[in-house]
Amino acid sequence: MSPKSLYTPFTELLILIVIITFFFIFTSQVRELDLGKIFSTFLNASFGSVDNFGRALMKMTFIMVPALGLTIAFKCGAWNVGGEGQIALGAIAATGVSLFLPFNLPSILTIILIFITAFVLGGGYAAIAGYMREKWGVTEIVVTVMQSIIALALVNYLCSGPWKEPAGYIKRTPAIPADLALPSVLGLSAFFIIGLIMIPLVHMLINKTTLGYEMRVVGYNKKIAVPHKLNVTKLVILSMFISGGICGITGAGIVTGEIYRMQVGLTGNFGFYAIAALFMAREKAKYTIFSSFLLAVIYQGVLGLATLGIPRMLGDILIGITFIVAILPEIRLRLKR
Amino acid sequence: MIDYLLSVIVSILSFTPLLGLAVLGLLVTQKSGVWNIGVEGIMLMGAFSAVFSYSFMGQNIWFSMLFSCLIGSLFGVMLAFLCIKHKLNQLIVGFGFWFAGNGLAGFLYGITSPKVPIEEHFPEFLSLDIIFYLTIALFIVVFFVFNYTKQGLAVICCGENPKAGDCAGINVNKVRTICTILGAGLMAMAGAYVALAALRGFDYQMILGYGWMAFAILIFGRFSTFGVLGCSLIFTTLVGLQNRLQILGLLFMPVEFMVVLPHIGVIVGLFLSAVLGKKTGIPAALGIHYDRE
Repeated sequence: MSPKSLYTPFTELLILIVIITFFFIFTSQVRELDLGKIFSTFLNASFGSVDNFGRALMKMTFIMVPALGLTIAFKCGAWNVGGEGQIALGAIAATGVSLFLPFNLPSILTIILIFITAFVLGGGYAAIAGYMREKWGVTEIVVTVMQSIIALALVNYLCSGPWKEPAGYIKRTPAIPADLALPSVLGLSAFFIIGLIMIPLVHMLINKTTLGYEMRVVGYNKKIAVPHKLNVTKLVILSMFISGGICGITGAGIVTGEIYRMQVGLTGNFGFYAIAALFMAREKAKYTIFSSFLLAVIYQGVLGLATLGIPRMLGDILIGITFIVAILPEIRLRLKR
Repeated sequence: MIDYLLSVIVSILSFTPLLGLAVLGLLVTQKSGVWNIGVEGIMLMGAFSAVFSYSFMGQNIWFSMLFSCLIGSLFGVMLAFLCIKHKLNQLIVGFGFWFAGNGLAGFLYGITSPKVPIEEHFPEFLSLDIIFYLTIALFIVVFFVFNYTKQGLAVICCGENPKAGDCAGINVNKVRTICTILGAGLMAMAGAYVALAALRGFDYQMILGYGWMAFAILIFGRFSTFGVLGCSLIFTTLVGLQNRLQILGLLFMPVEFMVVLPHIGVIVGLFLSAVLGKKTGIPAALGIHYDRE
């Protein structure tokens, strides 16, 4: 058996399960908890009841949509790892429009306006990083990470300062008007449908259009792109813009479909989970749904374990390890050569 | 009045090892041509392991410092294994380390909860503790190594032009591995210093931003040993002044803005260094794997 055939997404899954089990055994030993109880709490959080399953599906949407967006940038060779910040900016745009729109519009038009604003703001934010990379050769990885932290601080500032709910001590904005909330059934809001529609759209954009083809050429090899008269700068910036825009839509979806206001920590590391989901799906739009469901189960499980007094930082460890585990196929590619 | 000013200066300077050691670790790592984005994670892990070993492995402050240096070096070993031996993307692996380190420190602290109060102090000299002088001494040592020894030249060569170094008989990957491990150890010691001497305890948010501030300092200090030292003194002063003003209630801008400053600094620094080109001292082969073809 060659090393190549040993390393499939299932190997990755296996590694993750082994690591999670290891952490659970460790916790149960130190805290003297029953191992079975830890596992059942972990799984109950996503599969215990219809409500919980609905919540897990919502989390899946919030991981999957940015992952789809980031796929476009990654296909074009731009490493947009700042999904988190673009989600935050999208949420800011959505809250801003829904709370402070100076004129009256029918609610359906306002919702469309919210999503367009979120798309433009998130996309513009990512496009800055793309422009800096193409114009001056600044590493977009570092810039997008920094941008995320700045955007998150902006959310904190707005929630604790200018936009803060007048009454109450929690750092959050007032609720958005009820007619702007997306309709929801059994805890599943309409944003779930938007997310599902997004999969074939992104898949078609990447694989079936000229633009997608050109982006893939740039991502595959810039040296080929130049003699084919492709405008590399434009393509990279455009791919960053679209990917950031889709992340921004996620922010608007969180505000209008899940918590109906902006509060500290609303992005919930979805942007970082999305990168892990993207790596696990091997940058293929059609597989993101599986990887993001897996990560959503982990996300919900870690939240559920908090009730047993197990720190929620477990999620951070798992993101970090998923990153490293998911990038391991690069070793496989080298072995193949 | 003069006494008060002196006490302010001393209290500000006593934070120097925090940024100084972290920046020194980054300098050693990056000079050899390896990115280490996971500074914050490694620093927090160092802080946790210091508190942990102080609580459970005999209450010795020096041993805790060494232990956290060891844990940090372990992270360095892992980074070297993944990025230098197996040539994975240094930025992505470092990013993973940032998350994994932060999470691991917070998780393990929550699980084991080492709560023995740290009462021991480092020996003091002229009202600054010994680690401060150690940091300055380390800077001088690094300066001499980089400028006057063969080994220092080898490190710089690995960062600037690994191919030439290989032709001259330097084992590029070995040099890079050593530098990564040493650097990670120093970063962990910076975290340990905060836990043992400055904060006397562990908090999940204690490192927030300092690792990235170290990055900004490195870029603004143009990768020269004393430039970096000067920059870290300036940044330390700014942080100290900010804390003072915050305590006195004289802060003229929101806290969130102050928190964000180092991150804006990193972007601006990278931007300036890219525009100014050669003068910035960023090693030419930073982040580029060396493969012997």
